[in-house]
Amino acid sequence: MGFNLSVRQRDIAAAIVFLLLTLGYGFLTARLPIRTLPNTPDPSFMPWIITALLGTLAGYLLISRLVAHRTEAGDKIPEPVANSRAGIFLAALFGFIVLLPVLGFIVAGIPFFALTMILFGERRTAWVLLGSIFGPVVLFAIFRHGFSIILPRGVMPILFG
Amino acid sequence: MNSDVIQGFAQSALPTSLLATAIGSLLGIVVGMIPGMTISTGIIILLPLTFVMDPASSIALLLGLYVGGMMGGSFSAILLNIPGTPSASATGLDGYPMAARGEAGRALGIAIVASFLGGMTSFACLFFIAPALADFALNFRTEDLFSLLLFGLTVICTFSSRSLVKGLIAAVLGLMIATIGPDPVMTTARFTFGSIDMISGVHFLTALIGLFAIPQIVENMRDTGMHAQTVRIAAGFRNVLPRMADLKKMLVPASLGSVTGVMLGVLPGAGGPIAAFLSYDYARRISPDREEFGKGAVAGVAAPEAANNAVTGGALIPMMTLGIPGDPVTAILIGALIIHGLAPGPLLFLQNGDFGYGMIFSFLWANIFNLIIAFASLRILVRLLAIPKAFLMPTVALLCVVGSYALRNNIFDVYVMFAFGLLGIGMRWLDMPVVPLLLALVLGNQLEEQLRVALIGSKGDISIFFTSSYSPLFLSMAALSVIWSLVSDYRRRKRTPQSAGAE
Repeated sequence: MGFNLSVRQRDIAAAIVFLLLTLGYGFLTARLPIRTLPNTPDPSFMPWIITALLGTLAGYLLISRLVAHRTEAGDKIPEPVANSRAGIFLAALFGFIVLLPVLGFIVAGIPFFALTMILFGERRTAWVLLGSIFGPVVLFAIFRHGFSIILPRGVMPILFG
Repeated sequence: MNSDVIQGFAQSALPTSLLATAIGSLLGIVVGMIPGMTISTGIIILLPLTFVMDPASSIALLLGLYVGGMMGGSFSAILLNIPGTPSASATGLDGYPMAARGEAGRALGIAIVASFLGGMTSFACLFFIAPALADFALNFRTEDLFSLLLFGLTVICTFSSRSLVKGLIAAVLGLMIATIGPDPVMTTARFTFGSIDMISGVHFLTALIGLFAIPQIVENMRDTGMHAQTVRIAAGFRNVLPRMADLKKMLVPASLGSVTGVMLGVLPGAGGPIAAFLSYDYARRISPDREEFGKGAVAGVAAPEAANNAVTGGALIPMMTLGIPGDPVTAILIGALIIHGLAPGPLLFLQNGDFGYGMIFSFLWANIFNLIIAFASLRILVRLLAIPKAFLMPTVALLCVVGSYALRNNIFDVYVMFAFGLLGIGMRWLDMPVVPLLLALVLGNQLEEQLRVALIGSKGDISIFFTSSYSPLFLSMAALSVIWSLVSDYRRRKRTPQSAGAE
């Protein structure tokens, strides 16, 4: 997320995305079923209001940023909200979610936990091993036995019977 | 005395409720004091547990965490000059200089007592105002409720963002997401793309976990070695109990902060940071030792700390009586109530009066437990500031997954949580506030329902919103909040022309 865009450029990009979103949402709203009850607003009533509001606000944002005088603050490139490690973390989290129903909370959770520990600066192998096994196992046990919340077991029954 | 009051007190004093409140307070202090953890994150961690607890205990636990978190935030602000919560930012202005000159214990003691004063003031307001306001709100018709909800949303947009247009866009995005699923009047499926998983819409708790916790974890990745200095400073404190002279000095500023906190807490979106900084400013203006501020003034610690704790009770007033959450925490509380089949709003005190008063008394207990736990275990608690993020953050990430999965035992919700996480990061990139989006998501269905039902009642005549008893007042207030925001934005631009483009 470290795209080197200034505040102004970001706002312009966002406004364009919101305008496209308005078009998409408006298109879907137009395809909503019509209910012909007397004096009763359709299910598309609120979505049309939202479409109009978003279109107006996004249009205002775009125009105001395009016509605004270039200023030091507006052209300043803000600090990045995330770094490359964050990208790896998000990819790992997505991978964990994909593997969760297949491998189960514990088996999928161990490598995810270990990787996240490393991303947060933990370099001691023993601590990473201990933490990554201990964390998911304890959480699984707490929720299963303490609160009767059964998290996905995945391959666990195959591995441990 | 009203029998609901007695039953509510009895319910809050049950051993299970008291234990839940005490555990919530303890966890709240811990979560609040650890930089990088917020009260919202703490509540998200506890959320899955509340699904299986009884309503009284689960709300007591969450209230304890809310109140404890507000106080805990000041500990790291005083000891490290790193506020544990945004609300504690002002406390560090004088708390840290006091700690730096070897009076950390004194500063912490003042903060704890001021927090207690703020909490008790807001309890009193909550106890006397909430039931009366709920009673009054029963007079509201659908058009009034629509205008009230609109006012609540507008205020949130104006308070939570430096740019009104970005705040409004965030709220509209929230309304847009709220339209996914069955429409609230005819239950026609909308924007579900034929997916069974989307038929019931996006659960706002799933959205909340993604919007708040995932960006928080990502933000923490920017600085992974923050805790090194922690224990060295914390180890030096002693004499935590405030002296009589300090108590005298803090009485006026803490009272001022308490009143400011409650008043701003009632306003949706205003929240703890604004209350804390306003109170700090007021205390500085009325202080005879104005030059002491910023160098370790007692009033500089007491006023903001009382204010941010008083905000909690204030925020509970609109949440309990009108169903309008003022911040993410009260939004979660609404979610927890709904999960247990209780609807916050004017009917809460009418249909579940004992539960409503039980909540208020649990809030009282939470403040009492806070005081006791903070003084009794401060020396141990501050050691927890040294918990490495390498252990904390993976645990939070796993709990995000657990929380979103356990809500409906559905893996789809986990994907939704992840998507909201990305949205939250994107919104931070754009400097766009997430609170309006979240609250619009919470209020979206209600807003639409009230609007459409009012229009059905008036046979499509929109003048009903301008002619009914209360609606014109709320609409005027909504318009005023927008105008006020535009005027203050204009003034700011005039004062600092170089910032104009950044807005």
